[in-house]
Amino acid sequence: MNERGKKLPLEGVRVLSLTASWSGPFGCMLLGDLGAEVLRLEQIQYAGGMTRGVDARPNEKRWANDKNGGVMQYVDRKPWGANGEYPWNRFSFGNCHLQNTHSFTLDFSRPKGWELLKSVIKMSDIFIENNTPTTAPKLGFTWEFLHEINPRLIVIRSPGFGLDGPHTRWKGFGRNIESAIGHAWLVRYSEAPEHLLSNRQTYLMDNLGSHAIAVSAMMALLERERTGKGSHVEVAQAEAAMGGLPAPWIDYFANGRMRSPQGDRLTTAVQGCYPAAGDDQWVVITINNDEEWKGFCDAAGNPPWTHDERFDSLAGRLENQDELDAHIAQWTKGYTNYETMYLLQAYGVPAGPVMTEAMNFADGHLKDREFFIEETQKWCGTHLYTGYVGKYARTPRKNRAEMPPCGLGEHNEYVFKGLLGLSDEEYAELEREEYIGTEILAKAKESL
Amino acid sequence: MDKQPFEGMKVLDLSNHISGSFCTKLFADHGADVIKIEKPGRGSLTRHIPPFVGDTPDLNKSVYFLYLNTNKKGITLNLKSDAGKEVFAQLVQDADILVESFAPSVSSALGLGFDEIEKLNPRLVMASISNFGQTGPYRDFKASDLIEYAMGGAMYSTGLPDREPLTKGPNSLLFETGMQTCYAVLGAYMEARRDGLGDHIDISIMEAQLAGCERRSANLLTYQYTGDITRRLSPTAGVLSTVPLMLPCKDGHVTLAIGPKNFKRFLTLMGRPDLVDDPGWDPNHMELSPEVMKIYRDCFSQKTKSEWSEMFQKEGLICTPLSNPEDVCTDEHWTQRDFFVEVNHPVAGGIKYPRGAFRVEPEWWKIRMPAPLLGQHNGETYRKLGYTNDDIKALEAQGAI
Repeated sequence: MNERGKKLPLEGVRVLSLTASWSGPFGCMLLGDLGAEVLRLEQIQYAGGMTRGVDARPNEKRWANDKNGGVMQYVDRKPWGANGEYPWNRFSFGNCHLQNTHSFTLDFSRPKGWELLKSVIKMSDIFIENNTPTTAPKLGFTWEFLHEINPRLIVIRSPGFGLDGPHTRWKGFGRNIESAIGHAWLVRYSEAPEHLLSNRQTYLMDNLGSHAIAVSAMMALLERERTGKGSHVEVAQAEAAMGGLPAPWIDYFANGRMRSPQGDRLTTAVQGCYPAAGDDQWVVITINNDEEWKGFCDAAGNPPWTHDERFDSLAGRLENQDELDAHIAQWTKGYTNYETMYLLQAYGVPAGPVMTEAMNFADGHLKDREFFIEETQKWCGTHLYTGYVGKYARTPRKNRAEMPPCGLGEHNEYVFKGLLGLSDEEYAELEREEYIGTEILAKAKESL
Repeated sequence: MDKQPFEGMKVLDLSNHISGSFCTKLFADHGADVIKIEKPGRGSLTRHIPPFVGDTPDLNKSVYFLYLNTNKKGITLNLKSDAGKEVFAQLVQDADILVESFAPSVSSALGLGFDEIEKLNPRLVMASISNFGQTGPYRDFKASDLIEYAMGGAMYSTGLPDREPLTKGPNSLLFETGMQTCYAVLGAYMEARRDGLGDHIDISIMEAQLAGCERRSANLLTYQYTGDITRRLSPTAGVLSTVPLMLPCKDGHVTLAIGPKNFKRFLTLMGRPDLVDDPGWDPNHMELSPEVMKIYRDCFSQKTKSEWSEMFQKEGLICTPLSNPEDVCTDEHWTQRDFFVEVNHPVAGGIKYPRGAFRVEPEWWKIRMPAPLLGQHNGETYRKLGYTNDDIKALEAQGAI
């Protein structure tokens, strides 16, 4: 197709990011993918959050204590030893969403740093932060201040519970917030207390929150063209998540009903997760209607149990699903999850493997679509990273491979010399006085 | 009246299921003129998904349809008929954005290939949402919400270690895809309005999950970095394990995140200051034994989940209630923030829905009209295209609308 004349959609837009994993940095990267210049503000006086590692320099004891808790996800596992320098640049929680991002460090708690930061704010189009509501104002970033020094600046604030209301100051990790908004209650095997789960390792607010940040940034840019002024936008991560899970709330308001957890099942189709050949391998099947049921029976070779008349209608299959599931599970155990997928799909029945990360990277369909991106990052080497949402036929994206996950302070020279025009001497002084740097200080405050 | 960000944008919504409808809802709720095009008679698939208001299946009472189609005009059109195709071509010529979610084989059969569409309107941004994308070996495979989560999402690591992997919130990943599609569409639109050149976006729901933002995106990278796959964790496993992640209390459960740093304050607030100097209660050298658990349980049974949450959060410690839908819908926090807003619908009545995710002064988000009845805006829309009342009657008689 003709690509002549196509520029990056957000070329010329500068984003100042004061964000922590996941939704904030990811939302900024999404804007970077479209051509915005993202400047990520970090500090060598501060270790942490989840973006650069829970500890600045984790040791063997921390690694041993992690017990697969998920906070020791570094290149080669152990972030020390011969290849262990700059652990904060080698941490997967940050590196999964720091592409197309410039990192600069600055101690803005001292007046000289604050003045420099003011110059960056003045040349920015969008300011994004996703901390608890008290953090940004405490550091000096109030809307009044930002708007006064740069009336065209769009300010996007994305705290968990929002900027006002009784829980506004509540803190929590994804799992704590998602408990408070009902997601943990809704997703269980059953009503039994032992089926309550709080560590789901996957949270709606991150995906909906990050994309809501990017969407609102573009809306505010459209708005600014009309008004000439930057908007003050609030994106409460919890509200973004709740808007993507509407049925339980509307059902409650309309019918007074509390939807009960039903595991992987549906009330409108026979659906389940069944064991496959292999260790801890699973396949998911959805049988919506009589046609798909017939397809399933044919695929399975019409064994006698498929002729049970209780299974003839959808209502009957749903009513007797415990028994039906036992038969299906017996059958699926004989095949790998991929074999079941290919077999059932050939008969028009929706089915697919429950994929581990290893299976995702090996999957032929994703390879065919060239989904993953190979990126070489200075501290980590070459790996495959997840790709983009949607394929454009024409619109160019800034290639993440050309700007792999940024190291801490990697773009200090660009920001201070290139954008702010500091001399070599002035820059060296900033380094000497520990305003800027690329290594977290030994005396840095730990966040957790 | 203050303007909304998408005012003046024209969007055609051909989507049958949730993702596309949520994407176009985001445009409609923030000011765009969105026309939802449905199949005559049966309407869109989302009209048939339970739950229904009053629990009776009705084309106008699916809570999904009602929520997904606020602020849209609704028309019916048979895209298989020649007359229908002609009308559709006229609509495309006037649109900025088109969102469709037919199976890839169906859309080309309907003449919805981008090559054809582009001839009608070269500046149109068109998004095609499908299970696995417009190309590749799985292109024509069928899927469900759960299958997409299994293949693209974090299902393998969701649930208990000794049980099968578990779903996420009902249909939520389809809403995620809708929000992600809105982002992708806006990206192309920002450029198309500068250079007048449209685009076609191929959205695969499976890839939307993989490319999305959550722990799974880090876990995929962790696998690259370490070779470790992420497994389902036992409920007691966690980052800060001196206090369980969840404890039963008077009226339910609370979730906690208490690290060693806050352990002494936690014990005091819990009601056991006597344990603070007890050598057996050193957070770095203790196990969650049955005796320890009993003490936690006895303490926590004294107060309700909101009492505990408020008390700990006031002191800066992380504790939240495990809320059920009733708790959420009656939570003072969301009430004060007017998160649930009543919308009146002529058939379904007045019901509260979640409001939009963006809050701006003056408001970007507005309810201008409820979800349309099937074909509600046929007359208005077709007259605007130049059809007379007699023409419209003739189209109806042909089954085109």
